Amino acid sequence: MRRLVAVFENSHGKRHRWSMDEPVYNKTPEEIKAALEKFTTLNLFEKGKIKLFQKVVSAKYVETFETPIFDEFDQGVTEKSAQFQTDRVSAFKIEKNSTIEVSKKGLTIRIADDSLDGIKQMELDFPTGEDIFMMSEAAITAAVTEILPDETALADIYYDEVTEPANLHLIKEDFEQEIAESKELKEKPKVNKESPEAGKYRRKKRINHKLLERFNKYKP
Amino acid sequence: MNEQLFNVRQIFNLKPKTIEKRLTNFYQDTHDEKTTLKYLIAIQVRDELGVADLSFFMQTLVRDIFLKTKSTRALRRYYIYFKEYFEAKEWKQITIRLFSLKDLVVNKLKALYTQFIGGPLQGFGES
Repeated sequence: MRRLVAVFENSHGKRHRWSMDEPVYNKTPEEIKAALEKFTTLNLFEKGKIKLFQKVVSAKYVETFETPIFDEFDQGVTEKSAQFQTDRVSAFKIEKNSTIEVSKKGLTIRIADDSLDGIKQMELDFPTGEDIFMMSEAAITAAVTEILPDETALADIYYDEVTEPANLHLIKEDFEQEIAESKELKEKPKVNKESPEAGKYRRKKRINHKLLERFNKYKP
Repeated sequence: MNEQLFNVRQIFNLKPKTIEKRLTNFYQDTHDEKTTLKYLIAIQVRDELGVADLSFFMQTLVRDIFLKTKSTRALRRYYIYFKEYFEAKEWKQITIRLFSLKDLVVNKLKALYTQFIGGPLQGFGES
């Protein structure tokens, strides 16, 4: 479930949160900001004598994932979660370099990095009509998360423009890792918006968490 | 201060049909164009940010307000948000109606009066 969450300032200068279900994704940050600012011109809502929605502070998309574990009334859920452990890799096990067409968005998925414990990296070919440099970060993330299977989480996105349709690479995390890492990673999916250097294949270095932990442990 | 007709959550979560019903009743009871237009603009924000299509929400009421009621400050302030509700020709009429030359002259004269006649006299009295 996705929500749009925004922080506003009230007439006392204190902040308050506002959220909305089922937001649109095809808007640019400027358009969203404009709409929220339009809301602040109204002076319509108040709590006691304090006027709410006086100034927009920030806005973000927040996504919640639910994984049913058991349900006393719906046996299907319990069975599903029992299968879940075994199914989660095989359900999406595709040969390396194979492609799946996702007709909805006109995207092609290619599995680029496939190890024993699941798929780690995917490549997406965007249709030529879409220009990902024109799309906002949130819009790209939304488009990508929409086509991912349920049990996976998006850890990181980066893209390179080797030839004309630009490729968008995904690094997918296994579900178990997701639980541990999602808090940090999911909130900030980054798209490197560096200027495209033709012909160069750029891959983001992954952080060695174990090394970092050891380093932190022995730090004086 | 009267009880609010809708709170924020209601504006963003109630079904369009319910909002329409309540807002129509509210306008018929109070003829409060200012508050009605404000709620309609809040619904425009919901339309812009949400998936549900609420464009041209309560178009008849908006047209009624702008075409039939007296020009007020609130109407002049918020009329720009409702441009899409009208055809170009009607829009011109509304603009003329809301910002009539008579109003303009009256306001100008008032300003001049306070600037040159009202103002100095006040200043004279103080000194």
